[in-house]
Amino acid sequence: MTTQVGTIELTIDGKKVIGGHGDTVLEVARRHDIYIPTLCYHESLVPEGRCRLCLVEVDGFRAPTTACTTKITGGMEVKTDTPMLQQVRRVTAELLLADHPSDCLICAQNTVCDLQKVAAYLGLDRIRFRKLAEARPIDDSNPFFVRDPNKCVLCGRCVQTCWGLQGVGAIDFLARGHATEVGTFARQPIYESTCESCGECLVRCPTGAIARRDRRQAATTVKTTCPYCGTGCGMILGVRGGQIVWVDGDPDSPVNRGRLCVKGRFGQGFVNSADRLTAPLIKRDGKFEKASWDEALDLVASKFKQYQPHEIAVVGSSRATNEECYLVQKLARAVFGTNNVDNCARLCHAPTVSGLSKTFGTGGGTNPLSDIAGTGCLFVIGSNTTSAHPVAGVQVRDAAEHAKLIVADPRRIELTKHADLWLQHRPGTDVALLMGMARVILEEGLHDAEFIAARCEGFEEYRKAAEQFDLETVERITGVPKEKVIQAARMYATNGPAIIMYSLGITEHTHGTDNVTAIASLAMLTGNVGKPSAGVMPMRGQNNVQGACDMGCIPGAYQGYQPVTNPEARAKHEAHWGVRLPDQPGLYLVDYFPKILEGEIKALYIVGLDPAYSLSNVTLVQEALRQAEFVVFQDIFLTGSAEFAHVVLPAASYAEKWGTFTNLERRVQLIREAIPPVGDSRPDWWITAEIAKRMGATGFDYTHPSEIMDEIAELTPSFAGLSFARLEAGGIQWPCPAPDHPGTERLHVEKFNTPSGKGQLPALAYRPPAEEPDAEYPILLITGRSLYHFHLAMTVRVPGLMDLHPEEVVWIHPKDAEKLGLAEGDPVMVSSRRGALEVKAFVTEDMAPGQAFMTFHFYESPTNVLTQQAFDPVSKTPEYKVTAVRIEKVA
Amino acid sequence: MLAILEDFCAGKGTPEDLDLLVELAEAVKLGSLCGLGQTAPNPVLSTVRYFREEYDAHIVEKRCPAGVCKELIQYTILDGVCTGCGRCKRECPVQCIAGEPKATHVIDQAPCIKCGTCREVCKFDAVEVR
Repeated sequence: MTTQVGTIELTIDGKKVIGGHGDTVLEVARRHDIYIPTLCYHESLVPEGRCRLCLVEVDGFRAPTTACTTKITGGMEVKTDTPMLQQVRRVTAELLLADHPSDCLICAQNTVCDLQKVAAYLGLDRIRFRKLAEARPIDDSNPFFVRDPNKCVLCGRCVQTCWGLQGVGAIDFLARGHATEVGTFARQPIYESTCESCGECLVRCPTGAIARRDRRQAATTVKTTCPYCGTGCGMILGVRGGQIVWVDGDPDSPVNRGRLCVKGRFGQGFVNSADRLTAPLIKRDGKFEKASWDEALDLVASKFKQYQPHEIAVVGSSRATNEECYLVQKLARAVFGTNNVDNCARLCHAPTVSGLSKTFGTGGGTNPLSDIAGTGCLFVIGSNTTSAHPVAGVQVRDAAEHAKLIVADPRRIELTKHADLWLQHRPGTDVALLMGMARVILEEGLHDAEFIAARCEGFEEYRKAAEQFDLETVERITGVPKEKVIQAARMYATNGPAIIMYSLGITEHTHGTDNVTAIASLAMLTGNVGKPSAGVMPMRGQNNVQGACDMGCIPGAYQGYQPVTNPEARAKHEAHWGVRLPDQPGLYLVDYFPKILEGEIKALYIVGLDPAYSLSNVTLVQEALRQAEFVVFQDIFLTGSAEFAHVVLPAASYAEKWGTFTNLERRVQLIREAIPPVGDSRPDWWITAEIAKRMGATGFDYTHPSEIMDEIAELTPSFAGLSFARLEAGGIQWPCPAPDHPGTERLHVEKFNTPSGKGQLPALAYRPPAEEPDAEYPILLITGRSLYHFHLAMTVRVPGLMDLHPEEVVWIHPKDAEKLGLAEGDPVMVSSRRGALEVKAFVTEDMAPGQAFMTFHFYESPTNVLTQQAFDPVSKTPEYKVTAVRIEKVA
Repeated sequence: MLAILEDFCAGKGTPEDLDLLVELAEAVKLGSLCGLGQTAPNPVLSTVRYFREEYDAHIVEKRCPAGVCKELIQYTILDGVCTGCGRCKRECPVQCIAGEPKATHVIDQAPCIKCGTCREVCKFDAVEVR
């Protein structure tokens, strides 16, 4: 439906107004500042005309009609305020108020309540009806909000939000007539229901029937960007007295359009947690002691001066801002003199960078999230989108209403409920599955020959490689019946424009780069690249993991992927930074720790990473951290890893500084200082610059992160057009080569970014995972993220999230549970060749037999003692997703 | 609407309540989306239109001309008509009728539940409802 604004003229209350085609009377009235009372209308929902308060009289209509559902027509004469209308509205409002509690002054919704507004508009001075409703019990089972059915006016906004907008369906209308109420299945407490605690219902509730537990109002509000996943939702922080008191989605953000998930809306409590580091710590005699900034920074600077460049390794943070990541690599390269700088993308989406660079020429997602809505087919593989990227997941659920949805995942994830087709392949067999689909597409002639001829290279080799994947072999390897492979191939190839979304289920393998390459090839084969709603979308895991790579926290390239081996790029940076720069790529993050054990690396500067718990095979990592001569951690909490530090530098959180994050669409977005740094913590950019300055370096005299962005723009062609002044108006997607360039919504529209300008179709072969289940370790363990948590240190400090997901469990299939004699909740020992830990069993048919699942969010049960020391040969990403384990009942 | 009507039947109605009933019924008719809502108030409005004096009797005089609303009626045994047969006394479910044989019986109004059994069983139409 296209809205043509300003084409229809009508009269409302004698005033000539103009509306667009398809507008409703209510929309036009609101735009012209004419108030029509309503309780059920909300701009984000489909009007249902439920509350009957927006009745208007229209000339020529037999009876009053609801303004929210009546489309405007030319010459329409509308009256919103007649004695008859007021009488009908008055009766309706009085009936609602008769049953409504009158504790307005202590209600969470006081002053912002729509029912109050309606009552005031109607000028009600008394309620002529008597209360008929009986008191209903309040549901306060959810840690973040309270449901008070006594205050409910049955407008249905929450029900429509939960079903239509969020696709969750945890609440609905129960019973009929005067007994009608909004409730959960079987009237269980909302905590027990399928509710995901996103809070979208409470945002829309017109009264206090669904209200935040913390009712404090803010003194001021600040727009910023969510610090959790890579979706990069715009947020508004309600702030007072140095504290965040509430969070709302930013309706102006093109990413989330006002929506948030449970972590975004309710998970910001970590900022004001009592556990925040508030002063630098120096370890003396095995114990941390508080120190002054001067003392700590001088110690750090003098220590790092003592080491040779190759003895130092640096980790930038994918949680920190672009400006901070840029400074960290600048410090490493220009001051420490080493290219040993990396970030945690090495542990997640490094195969995306290597795989997509190889095929498309640029290691970033090709399309904006808004393209999901227009797609004809969504193929989601290795991404539990609704848990790991909840707001993007909502958009997938939305799209599944009209588009085909194919989900390939070993687990029965939430999205499979919305899918047209679910391929339950064995973990680590993605290449076989994707190439099997490619073979079907080629055999049936469903490929886009024109696109391939014009835009791609290597087709013949690719075709030959695909021939190796006959469907019997594919079925044997993947466990997916060949009929389903054929069905998936046809569905994807014939329902364009099509998008493939993937995440760590694809990358965290010893063949992660191959997986990404296979995905990119499938997209090129069907011509689904470089067009609206057709492309490849890697779902980046952390708020700024895209940015940390973009900013050069990778061993082989400066910011903007300018290779350190390229003499021109090096010369440019040497000239600007005023130093000689190393010309060989540095070591990968995962290699730091073995190299420490070998004595080659001696000192570490680690910003915002928890390697002792988040790398694979952490026993080795912890041993290395113990052996390292000098370790500096810079973080907002004393993380599990920071315990190994010699110096800990307290950083300010995202809410306490300015900067930019880059989301999974390559959209660079501002974060703004909302509160002063907690305690004596300082922004990361300040700390990094101070270390550099105290080591005698020049070029680190910044007074504000915007100056760092200006320097980035100067040195980086793809960021040349960015500045804080421009970003104030909203995020911009790189490449943005000039100050008047609008940014690049979609990549590869005209040509690919490879040297030849053509997409590369590589010949792929199947390689099995590094470790497969055997007699000794018969179960295959997959790891992944929970909806309610985000890695380690942050969400475990939000009590409500801990209520919703308090501890680690191992998910196993009932058949395996029976074999092992296990019941739900039984303590079990999970062990691999590298380590063991005790957790409780969670028995569920969402798993395939022979497979188990664990998250990695708890220090008490560090899942990564189990995972492997095996890496993708190209990107060096560990194979987190396949571990052979044994599960035994603990007596 | 039902609550207001029940008030009338119980003799608790006021003239304002009658206006409110009409206003409510009209509002439901005009404001409803479904056909049931648009028509359900009609019987109520019809009774107000055609049997207004019944309403007035209930509201102003606190009596039920049809002898139906229990709160507003009283059963009495007419002296001279009653033969003292004792049938009503035997049938009364709450034993609130007293009287010697062949003498006029009397209903004790306090315990009477206004079930009308006495009136139904009386062969001489000696029980009056007012």
